[in-house]
Amino acid sequence: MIKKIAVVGRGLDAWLTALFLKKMICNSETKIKIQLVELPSELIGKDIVSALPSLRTLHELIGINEVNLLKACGGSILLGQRYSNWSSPGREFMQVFDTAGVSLHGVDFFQYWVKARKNGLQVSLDDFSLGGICAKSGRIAQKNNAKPLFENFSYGYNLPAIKYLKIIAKIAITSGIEHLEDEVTGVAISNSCIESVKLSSGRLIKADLFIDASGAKGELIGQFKEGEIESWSDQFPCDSLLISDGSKLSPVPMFNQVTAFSAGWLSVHPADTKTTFKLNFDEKLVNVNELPDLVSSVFGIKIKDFHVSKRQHGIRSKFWIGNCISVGEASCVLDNIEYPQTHALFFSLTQLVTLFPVDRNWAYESEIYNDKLKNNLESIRDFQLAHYYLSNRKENFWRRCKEKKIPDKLNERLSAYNDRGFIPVYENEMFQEDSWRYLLSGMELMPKSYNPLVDRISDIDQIQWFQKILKFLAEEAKYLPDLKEYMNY
Amino acid sequence: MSERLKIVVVGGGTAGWMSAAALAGIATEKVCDVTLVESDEIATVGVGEATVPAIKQFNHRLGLSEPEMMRQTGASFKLGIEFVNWGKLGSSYIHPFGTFGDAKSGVDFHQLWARCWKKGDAKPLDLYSFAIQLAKNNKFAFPDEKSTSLDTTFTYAYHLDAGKYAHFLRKFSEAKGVKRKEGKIVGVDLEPQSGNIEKLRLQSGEIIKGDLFVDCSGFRSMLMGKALGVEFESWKDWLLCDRAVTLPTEKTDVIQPFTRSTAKSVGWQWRIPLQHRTGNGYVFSSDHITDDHAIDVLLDGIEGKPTAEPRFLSFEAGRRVKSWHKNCVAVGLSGGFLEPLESTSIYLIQVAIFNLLNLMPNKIPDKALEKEFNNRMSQEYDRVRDFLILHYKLTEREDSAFWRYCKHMKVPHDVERKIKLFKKRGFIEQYRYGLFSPPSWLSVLIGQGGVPLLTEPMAGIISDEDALKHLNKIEEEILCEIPKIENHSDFLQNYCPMKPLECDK
Repeated sequence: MIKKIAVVGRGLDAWLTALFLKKMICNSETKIKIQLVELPSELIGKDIVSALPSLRTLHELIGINEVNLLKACGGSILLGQRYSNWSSPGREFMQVFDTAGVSLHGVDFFQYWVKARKNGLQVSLDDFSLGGICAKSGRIAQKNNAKPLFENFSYGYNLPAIKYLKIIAKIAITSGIEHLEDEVTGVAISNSCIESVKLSSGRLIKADLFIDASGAKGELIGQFKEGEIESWSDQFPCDSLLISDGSKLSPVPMFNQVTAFSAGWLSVHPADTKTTFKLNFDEKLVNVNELPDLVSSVFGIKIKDFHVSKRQHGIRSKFWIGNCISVGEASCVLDNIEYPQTHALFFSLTQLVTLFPVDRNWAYESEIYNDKLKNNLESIRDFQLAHYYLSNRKENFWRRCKEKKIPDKLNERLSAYNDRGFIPVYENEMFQEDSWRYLLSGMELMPKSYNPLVDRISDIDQIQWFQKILKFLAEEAKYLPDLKEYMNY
Repeated sequence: MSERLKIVVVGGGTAGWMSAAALAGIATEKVCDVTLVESDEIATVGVGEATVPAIKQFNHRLGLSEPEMMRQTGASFKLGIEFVNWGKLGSSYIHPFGTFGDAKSGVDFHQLWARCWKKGDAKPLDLYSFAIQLAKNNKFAFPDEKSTSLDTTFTYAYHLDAGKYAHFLRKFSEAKGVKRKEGKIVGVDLEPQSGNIEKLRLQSGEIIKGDLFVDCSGFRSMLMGKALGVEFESWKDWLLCDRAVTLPTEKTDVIQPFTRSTAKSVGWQWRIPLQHRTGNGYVFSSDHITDDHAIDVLLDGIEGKPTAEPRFLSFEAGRRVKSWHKNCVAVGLSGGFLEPLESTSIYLIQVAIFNLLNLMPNKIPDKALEKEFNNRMSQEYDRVRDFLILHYKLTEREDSAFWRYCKHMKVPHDVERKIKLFKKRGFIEQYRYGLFSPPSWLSVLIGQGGVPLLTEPMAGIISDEDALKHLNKIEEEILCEIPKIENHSDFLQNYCPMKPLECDK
C-alpha cells in the first residue's frame, strides 16, 4: 500500500498538486501522508496566470470560494481571447469558452452558419454564443442547462501569479501538508524506482511515490531513460517570452487581447489590480535590447521593467515510470498560445487521482495514465500548431510556419473541416468542435460544403431563425451583471 | 441549395426500412429522393426483437407516436436483461437500463457499496437499482428526466416484433414518398473510372441508378461485400457462436419487462416477451453442437406452446473493415454482425443511419466524410464487441469445452485490462463514444465476476457510517416507491394494447 507521497516541485504545479492530492486521497481510510519539497521558484512577479475553465472545477474540488479568491488576489474573469492580425493584418476573431448557436433537426448549428456565410452573412460565429456576447459587452452569465444558449457557458480566470500562489500555499499548509524548501542534488534509482531523493541540505527524502512537479527541468522524471524529452522546438516558432506589466484597465476587459506581429505575438492579460503583457517571439528575429521600443512602436504599449525567459517546447515519452509520476510542465512544455497550462495540469491530476495506485502493481494504471496524457497533450499541441500554420502573413517568421510539416492527425482534422466543417474529436481531448471552429473560421477557412440536411429549411426561415438567436442573446445580455456587480453579488 | 441526392436502399428488412424511413422522414424530400429495392423471394432475418433505449431517439426524430408504434408491433417495455447461469451455474443478475445508487461527493456508488459489502453491512447490489426492482416486480412507469427522485435513474427500451416494426416503418416511408421497387437484383454495375456503383440491374430488366447506395442486404452484403469487395474481419476467435435457431411461443399471462438470456452448456437462449407472443431463440456454436441437438436444447428451455416451425440461421461475428466505401454505405448486417446478447442489432443500424445523416454527402462524396463515418462505426462495433466478450470471458464455468475455451481465451488487451482493474479496485474506465456506460459494465463485472478486492483511495473521503447511511436511504426510497407503481401488463393494456386483429397478422 502507498503510505507516503513526496511531491517534489516548484510554483503552482507543486502547490496545486500537493493540495489536490491532499484533499482527494488523504483520508482516514488511506492514511496517506504528503510531503512537499519546494524547489526554488521560477515564478515571475509580473506574471498573470490565464486559466481555462477547468481550473474552476479544480477549485470546487478543493473547496476554494471563487469570489473570495478573486478579491484576495486581484484576479478577474476570463471569457475568451480576441485574436488580431493572425490570418492577416487587420483581421480579428474571438475564441470563447462557449458553444455557438443551437442544433436544429439534429444538424449542428455550424452547418447552417456555413450556408449563411456562403449566402453573404457577415456575422461571425462567436456572435451566436452567449460567451461571445458577454465578452464583447463585459457581462457574466452562469451556465444553465435548462435555458437554450446557456448550457455550455463557461469561463476561466486571470490570476496575478504570485498572489494566487501564496493563497494556494496557505491553504495547503493549513490543510496539514508537510513542507520544506530545498534543492535536489541527487536521485537514487534502483529497479526502475526512485529509492530516495537527496537534497542540498543533506536530507534524504524517501517515499512510496514521487510526484515530479518541478517544471520544465523534470528533476526526477528526467533521470529515467524513458523520461527523456522529445523536442517540439522545431515545430513552434516562439522560443522566448517577455513578461511585463502595467496599470489596470478600466473597465477590466474579460478577454485577453492576442495580437500577432512580424516575429511573434503579444498577449494582454487584464486583471483587477493590474495588466500583464506577454510577448512571445523568436529570439533570432528580435534584438532583446530593443524590446521596449518594439512593444511601444508595434503595440503602443510602454513597458519599463520586463523579464525575458527562454522556452523549450517538448514532451516526455512517458509520464509515469516506476514510482515516479510527472505532472504539469515536468511532463510537457506546451506553447503559450491559448494558455492551456493549467488545464494540462488539471487533466494530469484528475487522472492521477482516478488511477492512484492501491497496491504495488500499477502496470495498468500507469499505462492508462501515459496513454491518456499523451493523447491529451498532443491534441493541445495540434490545436496550437494550427494557430501558426494557418496564418497568411507574409513575414519570414509566419511563412516558415506555413511551410512546416504538420502531424497527420491535424492534417485529417483540417481536411474534415475544409470538406464539410466537422471536426473529429477523440477521447481525452480538451478543445472541442467549436473551439476549433472559432479558430479555423477566424483564420478565414471556410468549408467547401455543408450538410445537405440544412436545406430542409428555407433561406428565409433560416435568416429569421438567426435573427431570433441574435436578438435573444442581445436581450439576455442586458440583464446580466458586469464584473463589478458580479464580484459584489 | 445543394442538388437533391438520389438514394437507393437495397433490402427491405429492419435495416432497409429504418434507413428509408429516416432518410425520407429526417432528411426529407427537399434533400433526397429515396428508392428501396426489395425482393419478396428473399426472407429477411428480422434481427433484434429486443432493443436498447437509443431506439426512442430514433422514433422521436421520425416523429412516430410511441403508443401507436407499440400497438402495431405488439411491443412491451424493456427495463434490462436478466442473465442466468452466466458467471456460474445457478447465478443470475440483471443488466438494467439504469444506474445503481448515485455518487456521493464525487465517489462512485459502487465504491461505497463494495466497502459496506465487505463489512457485511450492504445488501446485494440490485437492491439499489430502481430499474432492476421495477423489472423484478413486473412493474413499469415512465422515467422523468426533470424530477430529482428515482424517476431519473432509469430509462427503457422495447421488445417488439421486428417484422411488424419494419412494416410500420414501410407505411411511414411510403407516406413520405419513398418509392418501393419489388424485384430481384441480378447485377451491380460499377463505373469503370471511379469504381463507384453506377446502377443495379433487376431480373425484370429494369435499371436503377443512384448517387448513393445504402446496402441493407443483410449477411449477403450484396454491394459492400460482393460488388465492392470490402473485406470482412472475423471475430469468431472471441465470439464462438455462429448459428441460431428461433421459435416463437404463445404469449404469457404476465408480460415481464425484461429480456432473459440463459447460458447453456454451449451458447445461450433468449426469451423476449411481446404482447402477442414470446420470442425465443438459441444461439450456439456449430463446432460444439449439432442442429438436432440445438432444437432439443431450445425446446427444453421454452415455456408455452410453439406457434411456428423452428428457423435456423448462420452468421459470423465480425465487421467489414469499412462501412462506407465509394458511394456505398452498409447499414445493418451487411456491415457487421454481433450476436443479440445485448440487443445491439437495431442500435447498430440506428447508429449507422444517424452517422450517415450527420455526414450526409453531396453528389460527389468527400473522402473526409467516408473516413469519419468509418472511424465512428468501427469504434461502435469494437466497443460493443468488447462488452460481449466480457460476458463470455468473465465466468467460472468449466462444465463444457465451450465454456472452458471462453474462460481461458486470450481477449483484447482493453478487455483484459478492464477485468483486472475492476477485480482489483472497482475501476471502470468511462468513454465518450460508444453505447455502454459505466453502469452497464458494472452490472456485468459484478454480476459475473464479483466484488472488487480493494476500493479507490478517493472513496475514503466518505466515512463507513455515511456510506451506509447513503446506501440505506436509497434502498428505502426504492422499497417505498415500488408498491405505488403499476403492473407492466396493466400498463400495456392501458397505454398501447395491440388490436386483436393485428395479433394474427
